[in-house]
Amino acid sequence: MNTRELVPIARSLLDQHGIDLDLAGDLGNILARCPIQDLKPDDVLCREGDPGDDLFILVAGRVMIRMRDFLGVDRQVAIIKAPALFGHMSLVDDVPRSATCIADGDGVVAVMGHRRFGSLLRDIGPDGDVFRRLLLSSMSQQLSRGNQEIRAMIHDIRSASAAMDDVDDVDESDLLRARGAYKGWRR
Amino acid sequence: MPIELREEDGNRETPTSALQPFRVIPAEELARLERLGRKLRYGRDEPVFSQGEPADHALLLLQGRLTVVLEVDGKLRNVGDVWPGEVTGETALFQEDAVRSATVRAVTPSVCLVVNDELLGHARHTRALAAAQNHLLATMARRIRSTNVALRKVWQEQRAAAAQSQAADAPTPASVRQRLAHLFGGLR
Repeated sequence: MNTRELVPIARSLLDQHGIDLDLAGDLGNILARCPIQDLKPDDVLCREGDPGDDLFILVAGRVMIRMRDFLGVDRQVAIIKAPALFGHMSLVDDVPRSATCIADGDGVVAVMGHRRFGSLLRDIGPDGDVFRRLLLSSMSQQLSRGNQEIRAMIHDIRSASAAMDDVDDVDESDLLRARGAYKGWRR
Repeated sequence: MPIELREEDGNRETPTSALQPFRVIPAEELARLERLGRKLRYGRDEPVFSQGEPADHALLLLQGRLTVVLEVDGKLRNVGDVWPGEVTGETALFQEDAVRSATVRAVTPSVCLVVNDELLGHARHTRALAAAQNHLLATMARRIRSTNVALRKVWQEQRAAAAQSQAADAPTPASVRQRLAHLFGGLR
């Protein structure tokens, strides 16, 4: 895919993250330099617990996100739809993959390796600037959504006028939802 | 790793260039960032942020020390300190209608650089801004990581307490919800 084809994807990504749409050309340039991979149903992009060397930008299609809860039970936490940025947490924080990502049908993904990722973080030109903004906005949204999940859990206890015993406790799937939101997995 | 500033050093001038994320940045670039940004000064015990108020900027602490306080069920609980080189209030960035999730006040006289959309726009294409952005990324990543660790700890503690409460006459253990409310009490 060339830059012209990728600029609308870039524009949509920037719009999702509240970033100036005039920077779509710069982000389109970044995407155009990433290897593009076609996805088939059930292709595994990454597995929970594995080291993470790549960042993904879903250009077309959907990806299913699965995580193990605290009891080790594998659960689906989200389906993400294109365009979407994911897999960045392993690179930003140098931690293993938080989830397993599986193609949910045919799709297209741009794959950014860790070297390109590192060079963009150091790049003071337009490409580096828009890329860092995108990451910052994405992580800010993650924090906000994770906080929302926890707030909802706490709110249940506050809004219950009856004794605490009358409120069902949080279970593993509730906590997994909050953990998933912090890691960037939207429902 | 933030600079460890002793409490008695709190009032001392700390050049921005001495702060960890900016050590590799040329002095003139840093000076530019400080010129473009607005500095705020706080006296000892002065409030910096109040829990629940609208939020539209983060602060990079240049000197001094701040403390973060959560209001939980009407009681105040200290949840940590902010040291020079660290950022606080960063979840306000890139969010519409954000509010402060905790109260922050100055422990010692403090100077902060305001990090907002204006600074991020004006300082584009400078090494100092790239360093500030990367520092923010690391701060957010740490926040996400530590919150996940806290969630796991809450769950593990509740499981352990529930197992112990099987004994006769044992008090009912706090639920996960109650533990979350205690830990994140002021989250809005």
